[in-house]
Amino acid sequence: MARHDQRVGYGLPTILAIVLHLGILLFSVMRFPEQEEAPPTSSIVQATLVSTETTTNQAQQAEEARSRALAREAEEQRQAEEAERQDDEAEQAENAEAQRQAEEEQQQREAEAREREEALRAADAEAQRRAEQAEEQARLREQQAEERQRQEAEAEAQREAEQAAEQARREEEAAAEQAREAEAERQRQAAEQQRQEEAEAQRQREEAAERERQQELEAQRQREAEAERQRQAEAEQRRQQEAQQQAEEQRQREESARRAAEAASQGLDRAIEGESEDVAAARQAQQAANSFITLVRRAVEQAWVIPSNSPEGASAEVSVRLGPSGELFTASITRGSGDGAFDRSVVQAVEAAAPFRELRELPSSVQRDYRQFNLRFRPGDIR
Amino acid sequence: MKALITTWLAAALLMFGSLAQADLTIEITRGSDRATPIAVVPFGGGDALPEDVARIIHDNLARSGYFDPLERNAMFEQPTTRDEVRFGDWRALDARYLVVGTARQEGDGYRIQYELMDVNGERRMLGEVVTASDGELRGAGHYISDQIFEAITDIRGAFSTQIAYVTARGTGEDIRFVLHVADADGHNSQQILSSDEPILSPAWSPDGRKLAYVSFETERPAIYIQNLNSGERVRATSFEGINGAPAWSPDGRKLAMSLSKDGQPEIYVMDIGARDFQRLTDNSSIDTEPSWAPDGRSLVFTSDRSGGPQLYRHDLASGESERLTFTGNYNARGRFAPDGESLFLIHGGDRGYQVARQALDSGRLVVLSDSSQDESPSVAPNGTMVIFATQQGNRGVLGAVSADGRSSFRLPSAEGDVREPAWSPFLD
Repeated sequence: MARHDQRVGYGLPTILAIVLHLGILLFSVMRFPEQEEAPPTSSIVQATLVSTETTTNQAQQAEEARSRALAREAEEQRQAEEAERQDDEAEQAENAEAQRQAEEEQQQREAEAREREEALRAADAEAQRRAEQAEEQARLREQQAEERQRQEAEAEAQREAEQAAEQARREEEAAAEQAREAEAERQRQAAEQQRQEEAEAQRQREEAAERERQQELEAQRQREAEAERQRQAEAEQRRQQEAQQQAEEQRQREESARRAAEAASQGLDRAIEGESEDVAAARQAQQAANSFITLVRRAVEQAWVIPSNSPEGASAEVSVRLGPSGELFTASITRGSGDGAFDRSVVQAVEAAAPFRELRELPSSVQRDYRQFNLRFRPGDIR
Repeated sequence: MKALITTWLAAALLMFGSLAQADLTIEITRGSDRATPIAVVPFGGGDALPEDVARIIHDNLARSGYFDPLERNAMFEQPTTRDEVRFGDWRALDARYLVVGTARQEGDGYRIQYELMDVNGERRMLGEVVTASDGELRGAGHYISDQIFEAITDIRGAFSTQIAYVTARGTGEDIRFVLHVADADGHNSQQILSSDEPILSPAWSPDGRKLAYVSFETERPAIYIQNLNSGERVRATSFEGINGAPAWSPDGRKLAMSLSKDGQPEIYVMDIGARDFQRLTDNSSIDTEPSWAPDGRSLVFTSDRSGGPQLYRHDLASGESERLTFTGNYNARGRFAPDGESLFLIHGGDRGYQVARQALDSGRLVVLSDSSQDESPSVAPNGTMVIFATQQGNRGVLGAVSADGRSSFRLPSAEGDVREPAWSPFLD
């Protein structure tokens, strides 16, 4: 090499060495942040994570960290060797300063790698310890749980035994109580029977008197019921009349107010008067019609003699036409029962009940409407 | 303007109301189940006749249970033709129907004219002239009763039918048994057979011309068939032991009976023409009192195979017997109603032995009579009445009860014990 140097002179090799060293320097400066930053931060982060995560994770993560660190180490070594080789190639003895620096850097890197390795081992150990601890705790918890269960089972058994004893005792008491009650009941029944027999004798004595009294009471009741019915009917009638009157008054009040207003402008008093009478008449007609229907029904039911051999469920319909004063014009079967005697009996009933003179009590305007109707005979209640 | 509208409204309301009235239907659900009131006015000229025909009609209708005839002393007037009838008066008496008529002698016989009127409808329902020979006046009364009964009830009247019965008079050695046939009301009794020995179980042939009965006049009981017109008779059976309870088949060709010739009394059917016998029952108990169903396909009979007497039905096609009665411990002497839907029988219960009716479909049993020693029920051919033997004081009499139990009465009869009545079929 010296021969070579001698041949080309010192200037150029010097420049080349400087350039090389500058290049190496530049190279190492550029690589450094990467080498220094990545490994420690990642390993520290992993270690911190271990403490919060499960043991299996910790172990796995530690493993991963270790393998990553090794990979990085290999890479660094390779790079370092590369740099050395380059150094060799450029100029071995050329710059002691540069070599020393490189060696220092190498040592520093090696130290750092060792540190990392130690940290990794520590993490490994820690993970192992924690895993063991967790295992131990789990075993302990299991043991405790078993112990608790055993204790509970024992307590349960004891409780059950106590309950059974208690139950037996209670049953015994109940049986005794029942026996006492049965005895009391027997005695009571005997007493009751005796009392009943006495009461029966007494009752029979009283019954005759009672019957008489009952009959009187019944008569009295009937009288009262009759009176009550009458009272109620009267009250009902009164109520209806009152209601009607009130409605009428109300209507009249409204009417007169309206009339007053209208009269002022139109002077139609008389027309209004006539119209109000029409409405009242319609209402009255409806009431009269209802009572006419009731009357027809009662009269026909009274007159109907149901033949004794009527088929079960027989029914017939009769169309009835009345004359102007309620006399019967026609009563004809519109739907027969299929039994001649039954059909005859229903026509007879209408004929016997007629005439329905009350037709004339209906307002003349509606009389015509009630001169034709149907009667449906369906015996449900034979008296 | 407003007033005008209101007026129109009121008018429309009234019109609408009238439209609604056109379809007005009033429901009638109540009525009375009393007998139908009827008035049978004494027939004009009837006083001169040996029989009061109007009275016969009155009594017949009353006994049927369907009618409640007005008593004569309640009548304001006694019209004899429709023209004389003032319907208002009869309406006032609540008579639904009215019978008026005249009766007079005409030649050797009688001429009876009658009319049946619907009082409320003021219409004539029947009008007829009936002639009767001497001695047939009662028959004419029964005939008119039948017409009236059918016109109102739609049921054929059975007043012209007859009854057969047996009387026993005297005691010990002097006792005398007589078989009679009389009108259904107990009148016109005629002697058919007289014997020192018991006569039992008269039975009418379906045509009403013959009677079968059991007589002990020979050494042992025998079943005879006697022609009522000619008086001729033949002995049908005279087996050893019991020869009893003859019953005609609906076609009149067979006679069911109870014979003990093979041991216990059993039910046999005899072909009258061929004179051969078919045994229907075969067991160790007593089977007796057969009666044919109206359709001739089965018979009811009394058997004590379940302990006490009960009614069984024997189906001729299948040869099977089934028990029919389950009410109480004693049900015997079953007789079909003419419609075949119910049985009349003697039911033994707390109140003794009574005539009862049992519906065949429901099995429900209803006691009809109010007596307590009833025997031998026999049904009228129209099914409305049952005649039976019962006790009054110390002697047997004939009673009758309507099929619904509503009406019952005693029949007048000759002296002595009266037994074993049998109601004839319709006699045309």
